[in-house]
Amino acid sequence: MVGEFEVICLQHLIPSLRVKDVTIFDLLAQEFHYGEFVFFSQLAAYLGRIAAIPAKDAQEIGHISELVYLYAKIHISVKEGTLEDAGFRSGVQMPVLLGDLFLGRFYRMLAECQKENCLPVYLDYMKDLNSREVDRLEQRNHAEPDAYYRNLLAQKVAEAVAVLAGEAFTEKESLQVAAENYLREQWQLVYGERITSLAQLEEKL
Amino acid sequence: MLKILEMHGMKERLRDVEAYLEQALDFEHPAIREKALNTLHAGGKRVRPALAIMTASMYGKEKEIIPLAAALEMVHMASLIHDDVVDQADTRRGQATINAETGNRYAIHVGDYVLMKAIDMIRALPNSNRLLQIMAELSIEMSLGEVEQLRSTFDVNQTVEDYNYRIDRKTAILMASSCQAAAVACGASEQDIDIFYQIGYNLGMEFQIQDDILDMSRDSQKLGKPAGSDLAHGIMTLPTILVLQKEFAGKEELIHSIKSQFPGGQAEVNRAISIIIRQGGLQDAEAYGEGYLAQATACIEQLPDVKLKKQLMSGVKFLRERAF
Repeated sequence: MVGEFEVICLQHLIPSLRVKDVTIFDLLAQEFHYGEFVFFSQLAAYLGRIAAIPAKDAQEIGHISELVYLYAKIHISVKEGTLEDAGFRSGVQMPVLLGDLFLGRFYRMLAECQKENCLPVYLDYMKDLNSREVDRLEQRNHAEPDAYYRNLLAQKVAEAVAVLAGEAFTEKESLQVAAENYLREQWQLVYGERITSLAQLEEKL
Repeated sequence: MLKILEMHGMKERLRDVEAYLEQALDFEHPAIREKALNTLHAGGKRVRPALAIMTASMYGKEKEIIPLAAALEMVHMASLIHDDVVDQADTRRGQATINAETGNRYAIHVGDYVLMKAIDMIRALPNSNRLLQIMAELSIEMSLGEVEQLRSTFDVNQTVEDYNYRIDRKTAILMASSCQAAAVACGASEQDIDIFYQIGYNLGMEFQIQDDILDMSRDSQKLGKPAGSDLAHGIMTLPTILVLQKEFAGKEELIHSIKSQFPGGQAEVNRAISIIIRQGGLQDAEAYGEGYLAQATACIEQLPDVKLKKQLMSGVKFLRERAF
């Protein structure tokens, strides 16, 4: 059952999944979960209600966070390989470019919604992610990237909501705990369903 | 270019940019710092910072623009690191690429990190909201250009319009945005911001056309990468597209080589390049690029400042004369 809020989230996000005449599902071989398109929007809405920020702001933070999540997921999926196995729709070339595209769409969304004050929160996330991945490749840590980065981004959603709640809002840590709990309870239970095409997403609308 | 830079004090400002970049890339993460600084030390033409400085000179803000000029070079640097993964390039500017040394993933994350730092620097500048909007559009368009390039590899039916779509996004928009962002940072009028954008755009288009010509005409040592590497990777550049529009003996052989992705290796690529050169592909591309220089010149003419006009005209002259 798809709620009204999820429909709104997907309606906003689906244009971002298109690249000229095709979608990212046509260009990438990797699989996605349904939750990877709506979870952070739901989380932002939940945290937004706790922090009493306007619903529109929470929705925009959700959309922005989904784009950051997709950027990270796609770039982490880049594979090693040579030109011979680096063809179109391979795991080497296209993910590099589509990750960059989502990053650009993230900046645009942030600017359009005039939420530049949240930029440092997301930049921190992305700097952390990239330096950790380099460490992982140098075998300095062995973190499970998916779960770790999902949790880290959930924390950043809480931070962004706290930024929007204003200086008077002093419960950032509580919001982060709420985000962690929400992630633990909801991810597998509600959003872990595998979905791999735009048609399936649109069917849910 | 050095002659031009000496004439207008640009060399000194670019040294400031270089010093600023040394500090900006002195990241806390040692491995990323090493890779980023190696990329910086490999050199480069620093055309984008130069365009930003030229623009700022109209407003007497050549020194104030240094952080933005450095950030623009970092955006360019990040895009080159990613390009090398996409192109599977082993060398750039005569040294091993990050992907060749440490793998694709490593290079992607180093490139991303450099980009994040550049955005962080831009965030601290005056008019940062507008600058971020410019950077957002830039990132999107550059990615779309690269996606299109990848989707169209070894496609012999490409038109000049397809080529323009790609190089507009691949190169011209970053040069246009360098001028535009500098004008915004200097508080220029909307009219001047637009003129500077157009100057950068037209110079950028010509710059990429020249790059594509040089990719076929210069030897590997001077290029710092294998000659004809674009064609070898199936990227149809202007000389190839223009030649394929002609009728000549050997056309079918050329088309077959490209479509079959050069099974004979570099020797077959070299043969294809010889055909393109023999059919006048380089001269035709040169003539086409002149149109962009003419448009850039027309935009420069609209500027009120006489001294700056001379500087920009020198820039145009450099583009005409550059050999690598």
